[in-house]
Amino acid sequence: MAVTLQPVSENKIGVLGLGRLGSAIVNQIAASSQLDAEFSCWDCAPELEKAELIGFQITHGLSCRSQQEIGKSIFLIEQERVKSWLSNKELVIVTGSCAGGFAGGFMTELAQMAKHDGVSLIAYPVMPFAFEGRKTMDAAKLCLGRLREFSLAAATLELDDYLERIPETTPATEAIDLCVADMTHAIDTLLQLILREGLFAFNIEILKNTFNLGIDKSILLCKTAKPEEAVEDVVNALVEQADAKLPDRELTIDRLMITVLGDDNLSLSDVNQINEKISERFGNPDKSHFGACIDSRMSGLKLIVYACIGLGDQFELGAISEEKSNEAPVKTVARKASRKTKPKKRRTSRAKIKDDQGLFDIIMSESNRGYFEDTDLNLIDGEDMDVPTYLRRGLRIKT
Amino acid sequence: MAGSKIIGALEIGTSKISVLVAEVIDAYRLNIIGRATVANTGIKKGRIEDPRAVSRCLHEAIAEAEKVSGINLKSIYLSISGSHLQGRKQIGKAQISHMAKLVTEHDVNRANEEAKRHAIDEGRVYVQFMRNPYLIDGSPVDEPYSCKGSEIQANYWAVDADEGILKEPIQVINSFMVKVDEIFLGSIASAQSVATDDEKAAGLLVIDIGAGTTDYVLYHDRYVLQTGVFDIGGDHITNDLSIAFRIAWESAENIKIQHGKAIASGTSSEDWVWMMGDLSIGDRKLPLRSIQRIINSRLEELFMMVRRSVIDVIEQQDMQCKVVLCGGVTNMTSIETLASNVLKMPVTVGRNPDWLIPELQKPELSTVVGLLQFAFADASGDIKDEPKSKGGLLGKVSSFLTR
Ligand SMILES: Nc1nc2c(ncn2[C@@H]2O[C@H](COP(=O)(O)OP(=O)(O)OP(=O)(O)O)[C@@H](O)[C@H]2O)c(=O)[nH]1
Ligand SMILES: Nc1ncnc2c1ncn2[C@@H]1O[C@H](COP(=O)(O)OP(=O)(O)OP(=O)(O)O)[C@@H](O)[C@H]1O
Ligand SMILES: [Mg+2]
Ligand SMILES: [Mg+2]
Repeated sequence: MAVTLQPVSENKIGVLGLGRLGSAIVNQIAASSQLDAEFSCWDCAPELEKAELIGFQITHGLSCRSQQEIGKSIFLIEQERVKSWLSNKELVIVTGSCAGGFAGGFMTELAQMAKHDGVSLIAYPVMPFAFEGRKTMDAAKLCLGRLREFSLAAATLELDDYLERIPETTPATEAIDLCVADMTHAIDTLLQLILREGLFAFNIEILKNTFNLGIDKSILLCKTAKPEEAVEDVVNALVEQADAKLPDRELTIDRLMITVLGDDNLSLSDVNQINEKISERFGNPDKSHFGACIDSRMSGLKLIVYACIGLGDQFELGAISEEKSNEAPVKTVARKASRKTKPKKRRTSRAKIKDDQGLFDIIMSESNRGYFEDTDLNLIDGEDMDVPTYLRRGLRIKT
Repeated sequence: MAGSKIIGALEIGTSKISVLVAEVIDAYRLNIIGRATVANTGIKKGRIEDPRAVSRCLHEAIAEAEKVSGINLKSIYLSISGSHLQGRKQIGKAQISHMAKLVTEHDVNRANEEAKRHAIDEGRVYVQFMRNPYLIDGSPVDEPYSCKGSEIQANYWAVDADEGILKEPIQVINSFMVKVDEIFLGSIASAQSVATDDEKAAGLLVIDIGAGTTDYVLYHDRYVLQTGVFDIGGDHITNDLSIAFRIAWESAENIKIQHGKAIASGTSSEDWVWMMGDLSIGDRKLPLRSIQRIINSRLEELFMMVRRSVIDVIEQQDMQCKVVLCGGVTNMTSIETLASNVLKMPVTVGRNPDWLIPELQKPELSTVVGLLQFAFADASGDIKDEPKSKGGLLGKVSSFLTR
């Protein structure tokens, strides 16, 4: 069964940067992005050009690093302001340093409040350099643990990874710049997918898996197609990309998730047709997740495909939520003509998103049963029929 | 049969309890003398969750029917539903023993017994065996006696039930000193009211969409080929709306009934529906198109599920199947259009027999009307001992109740 979230309306997404580092990131996104989300910061240095400043950091940049009680107290003092900022949001993306005294403390409290208020929150925390010392690192890890507990997903970048990329003689701040650039790119991509491609409206599983498995294990593609050709197109593109990623191995698809995105003319039976074809092609249908979105802003039909490949034993890892973990993995797709296509070079500058396991246990599935909450599950072909059809199908509904 | 007899029919539906009381005069005339429909609580998806609440509603319904008819109700025919009812094909074979290879009663009985003897899981009981054509050396025959051949095969569509769940309503009924004479699958009772024998002969799928369950039955050559129940109904539509717009159950139900449409066409994104008097949030407007999309996706899925369950049999029999809809959800605007788009068969909304008063013509009363027809037929001895259309199981009910 696909666990689906309610679609997010454009103007109900808030992107919030906390502290010096977080603010720098969000300010950059605000400057470069043309997306219609609300960009805000909470910082000591109000030299922001694009993002709106919603709060001052009481530490005034004095750096209370790793003393997260301070961030927490600020949160307590500012609670009302934060609450009202949250009140008109459906999704919040928050970033900042896990090690910052302000950002680290504030971020966990914010995540907790968001969870309580039913606002989905995705965290993009940055982990400190190891050279900042054990105490800092421990505080950061504590922060990350709590974030995982309260947020929908937490995808980290580690500053140490960036140290390796710069010459030893250059100052560490250059690593920070690289990290800021990558984080900007990662958040912007996510926003694009949510706002432009209806990703979030479709399936939180995609997010989970993207975050969890790392970019080298997953293929995310977006194809514009006619219904008749859609399936073939997808198969070819999958094979091509898999070739590029794992050139020497037989292609196995361990998970497959497909969103059909269409204009107002997209009907459930079109979707079912594509679904059937894909199931025919890839076998066992409940191994693949399938969803659809109607988006009146677009015209024609688009398929967003997310596949995990070559996971092998790793398939069992926490990447897959519990209810899914006992599925039999792996189906093999015959490699055909597309062998000839040249493998593409992987982009190395892309952010490496860490494997985070077992963080997503708070995701709503039970709570979507409403009136049927206390009754037995109404399972048919692995789907709980008591959950609204439009949610399970990921139909984007204006409410 | 001389003189008169009192018969009763009862549906304990998810949303309402309906009782009919009638007098059968001189075996041929049916006089409906009492009726009551009372809103029901305590049931979700056809299953009793709160026996006391159901008991209160049932008391009200029986009391009203008794008051109107001036009669003390002693026994009723009852319809049953819920996905715990499971049907499957069962066959039994016997070698034809006669020297001239003519089928005798003995062979038929042996084949029948064999077919009905299949082991059943613990905690489950058979509720209905529906006979299908016999096969003599592989060819179907309606009447096996004196046919020639070497092997006879009896075929049944057999339905069994969870004994515990089946007992729940019967116990509530018995507590009012009312006996259950017969039980029928809800789908078969409804079909009795909305379909003619000719339609059942030509190939017919009857779908009863109630508040908590959707019951269907497939006929061909007047035989029941298949039955099924999904625990999905109008309550699911209400729940979907209530979740989508975060509105109270009652508001969602009202909006469904007033503005619901099975097909979301002809509505612009500028059409709004005002929701008044929902105290929790005050007056508020909702996008009509979203309402219709939510309903449409639910019903489309439901019809697709029905189609998937029956399509193999329909194709195998190579029949021209038509569809008749009944149950309360059938009141939804343009439901037949959606059903025929999805099922890819001609669809009509069922009508209860013309001779009934208008109040009893409603599609949500098909089940109880059909039950009454079965009771009438049994009482007047009109329906002969014809296994394919007679489905009640008096013996079974009483025997497992006295345990
Ligand atoms: N050493 C160093 N680290 C930096 C710098 N900028 C960001 N960082 C990283 O960011 C962390 C501090 O995060 P900030 O965003 O400054 O912290 P804050 O949330 O503003 O909270 P304060 O600790 O009160 O300043 C450090 O632990 C480093 O990992 C910098 O210029 N120098
Ligand atoms: N005009 C209408 N439009 C849509 N739905 C309707 C309309 N009128 C009634 N309904 C729905 O029909 C359902 C009731 O149908 P019905 O009376 O056949 O069910 P029931 O017999 O109580 O339940 P079940 O047989 O499933 O246990 C309710 O969900 C009700 O909301
Ligand atoms: Mg009913
Ligand atoms: Mg019903």
